Amino acid sequence: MTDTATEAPAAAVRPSVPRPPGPGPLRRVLTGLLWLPALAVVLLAVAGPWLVPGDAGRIVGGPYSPPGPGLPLGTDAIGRDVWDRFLAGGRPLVIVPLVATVLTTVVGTLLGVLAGYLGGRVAAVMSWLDSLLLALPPIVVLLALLHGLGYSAGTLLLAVAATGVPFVSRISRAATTRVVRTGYVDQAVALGDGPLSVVVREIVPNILQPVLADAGTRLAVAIALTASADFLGFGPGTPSWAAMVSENMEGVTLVPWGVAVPALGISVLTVAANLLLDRLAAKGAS
Amino acid sequence: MSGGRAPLRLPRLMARRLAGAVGTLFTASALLFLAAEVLPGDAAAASLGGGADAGQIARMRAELGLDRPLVLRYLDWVGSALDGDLGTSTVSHRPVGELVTDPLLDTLLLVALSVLVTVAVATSVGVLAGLRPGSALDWLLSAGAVALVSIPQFVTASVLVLVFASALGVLPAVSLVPLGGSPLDDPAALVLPVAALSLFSAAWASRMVRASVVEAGRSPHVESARLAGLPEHRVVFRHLLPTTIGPCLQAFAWLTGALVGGTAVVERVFNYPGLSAPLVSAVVNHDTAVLEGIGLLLSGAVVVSLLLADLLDLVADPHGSVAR
Repeated sequence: MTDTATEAPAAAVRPSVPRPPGPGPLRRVLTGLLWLPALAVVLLAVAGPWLVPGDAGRIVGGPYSPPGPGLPLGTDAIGRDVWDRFLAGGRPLVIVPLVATVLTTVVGTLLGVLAGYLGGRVAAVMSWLDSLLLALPPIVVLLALLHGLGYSAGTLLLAVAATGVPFVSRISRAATTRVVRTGYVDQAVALGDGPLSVVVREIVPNILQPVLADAGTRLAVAIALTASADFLGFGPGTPSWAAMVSENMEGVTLVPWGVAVPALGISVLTVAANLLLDRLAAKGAS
Repeated sequence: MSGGRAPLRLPRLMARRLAGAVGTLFTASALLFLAAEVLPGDAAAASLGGGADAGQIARMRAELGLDRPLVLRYLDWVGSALDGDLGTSTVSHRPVGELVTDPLLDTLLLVALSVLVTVAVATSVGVLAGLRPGSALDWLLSAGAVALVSIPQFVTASVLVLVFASALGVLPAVSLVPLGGSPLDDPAALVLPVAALSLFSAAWASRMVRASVVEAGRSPHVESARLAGLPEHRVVFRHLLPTTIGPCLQAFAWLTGALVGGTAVVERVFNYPGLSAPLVSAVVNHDTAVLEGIGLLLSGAVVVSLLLADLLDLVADPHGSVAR
């Protein structure tokens, strides 16, 4: 409510000075509440496979059985336990995207810092490479790599990195150029610091905030790309939330939760990934 | 211009961007060709199936021309592509061009409708949020946008099916288009695919519109219009919004490219007759020519959109571009 209260005089006076940043109490409470389901889903995704009593692929009943005792979400088209498969299917969407995002961010930042620090030809070549990779739609890159290498965690890592590095390197290059122009770097060089020390002590700490803020988007995109591959039929072959959405789509009128529950899991996971790293970046800035 | 260089004129800058785009497309096509041809998956082995011996594979490779040097094959491929010939499918033995024409038109129809919806929705939402940055409305719209941008498109699409096709039963869940027909024959089937694509892209674009409206709202000329005592609606429509048109158009052009590449997954949810089905089956069947053909068409569409974004940027602000 406080948000609307501060809104009323603002509308009348229309201050042109930017409002001081910082969320109102309402927003703080709401974002605080958002973290609970997010944490629960992340925990569930990672620990889920240990909670499945048997094999999540075994047939436990008739096709599309309604929920009942021992079957909280009923069964899918071939009679497998939807809840067991849900428990077993979250992990692929956490581990691979997380590793891929760390890889993408580190490689992209290194390239961006290099280009921003060295400038000139190196920066020009790098920016040309970025525009090149941006011209290939992520789904085409993903499918071309799957075509050549087949499905593996490595293929996914490569696809996420190839489509994500240009974004990261653009952001870190721009941020590095800004830092170099502020004069910190000249001063450090004048004091006798070598290039490595300049990069580690002057540049990296000062570009961390935009890079981390972008990492949230990268993680959400990595999860989306991994899930999309799985949804299109290129997955590990074990239960996964994305594949469940696709498998259970046909029986959506009979067992709607077979689609709804994994879809909710993926949604919470991606939104939480984005918000968490945004939050980290904001913390790092203050 | 302290370097003593004469300022470039607009047409020359535009020509330079055009040349850049052509170069990008050529190099991107080379990357695509490399990824499709050099990586281990071999079309010859794939088209013969699992039981073929080394001799059979070698003969098949010769027949398909796979034993020739890579550079020659690439130049051949690009040369024919420029002539409108995208090669022949190794699986169905039909020309790729013929295979992909109808799906391409259907995909472009989906993209065009989604762009229209996106522009309308993103502009209204972005302006509403951006005129009062920090307000409850702004927060609500921004939170919704962040959520929709994060969630994979096939999930949004599936939830739409769940709600509108399954629970409410008001719209068809799949696009059942008879062979040779057009999705336009059954407009109701287009609603959910277009909605799924637009939700994502409108959420993304509304962030861009919001940012540029907020920035324009703080600019000196809007301030002075307010101080001059102009009525608020006049300040907004005559002074604030016009300055945001350039950057917004640019964002929308960029978005069109992203949409062209992004329809595949949404099409799959609705069994929409676009490029998704041939693209995915090309990967499953190792049909290299079809994969390369569709990839080339899609990156061509992206490059054209990016070029459009660049040109709009130039026209809106030629001086800024020279300085860059």
